[in-house]
Amino acid sequence: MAALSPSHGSRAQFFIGTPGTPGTANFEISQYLRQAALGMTRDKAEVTAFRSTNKNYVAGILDGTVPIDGPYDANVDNNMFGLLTLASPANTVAYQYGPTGIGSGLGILYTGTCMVDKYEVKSTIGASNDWTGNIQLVSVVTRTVQ
Amino acid sequence: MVALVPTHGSGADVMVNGYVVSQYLQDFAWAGMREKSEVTAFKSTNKSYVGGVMDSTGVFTGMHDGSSAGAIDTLMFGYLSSGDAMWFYAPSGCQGSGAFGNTAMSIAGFSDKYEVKSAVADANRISAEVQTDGLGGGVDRGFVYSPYATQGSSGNTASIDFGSVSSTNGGVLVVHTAGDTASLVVSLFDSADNSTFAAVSGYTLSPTNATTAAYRYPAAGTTPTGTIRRYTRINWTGTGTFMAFFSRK
Repeated sequence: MAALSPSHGSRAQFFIGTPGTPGTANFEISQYLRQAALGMTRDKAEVTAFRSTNKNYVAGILDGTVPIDGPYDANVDNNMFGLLTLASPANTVAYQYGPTGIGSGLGILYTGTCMVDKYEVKSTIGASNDWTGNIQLVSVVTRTVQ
Repeated sequence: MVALVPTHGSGADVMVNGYVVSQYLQDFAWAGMREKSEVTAFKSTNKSYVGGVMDSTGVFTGMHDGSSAGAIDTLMFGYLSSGDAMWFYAPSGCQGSGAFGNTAMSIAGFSDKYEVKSAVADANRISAEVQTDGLGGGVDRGFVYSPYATQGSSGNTASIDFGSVSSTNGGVLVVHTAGDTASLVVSLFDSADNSTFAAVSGYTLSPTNATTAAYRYPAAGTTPTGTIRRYTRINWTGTGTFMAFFSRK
């Protein structure tokens, strides 16, 4: 049994493309994030028939979203607003997400292509200006051991 | 890695049709969304999408006040049955000299919800939603050039540097004025070297005297055009209280 190797979320790094070069994930947004969640899902079609005692399924196509949020900053605002308003098809934005960092020896790296389909800016008198965004994955996630 | 420059929400400003309404609000959120169409085909291993049309809404809450022409209840009750208004949201503020260069959004939209609420143990409060309308100009992200203030004489703002590349896609110039303006003319100037500036043809707004209102160039429905060089600033002649914003495309 391999021992657990836990890690803290504060070490995560996230890169994304820019409006000028969406296909290159060279804009770091780690310093603008409080959280990021790579949510990968799989369609399933139920094929349960008569006389079954348990539901049956066949697996379908992969999908996924990455909700992200953090403290507002004019720099990340410029990039996210630009990605949200990219000319259609707007689905060539590259991303890199490393839960324990991005670089040689820093653990697992997830990469792929996406589009930004939500970006929100919020001001509240009792808090910092904040932003939230949603990234829609448009390609298979590549998992790499750095 | 560029360092984070965080800001507190209490410094935000919101304006509508020339009126500052920050003093009535306790929170404001602008949410942009992008429609997407799935184009996944047989033999795909991951879903595929193409981006579609953008949509956005503004949502805010605050304290009820109907005591004057520019008070929030007076404005919102009227907007509920009128067309597009020109909203302005600056998360880091648009008042005071320190607001120069702050990022902001100019939003054309109509109110599709306004609520007034009374509770026995609380102040009277309001909540509202604004639907961004592309026909009115949609939403533009840009910078505060001339913070909301009273100008007693003509002048120029400092310049904003857009980097080494000129744009041939024009931009959107927006001015919000209070009711004390007199012969006010607000123009966009640009420069290649941050030394010699020239007026950008067409980008001039001449607000109506003594009128609280908001103005936009180009007009809603007109696609911005024209070359905007690297450095831009606002020039004004006349007097009055106003805020100027520019979004380069």
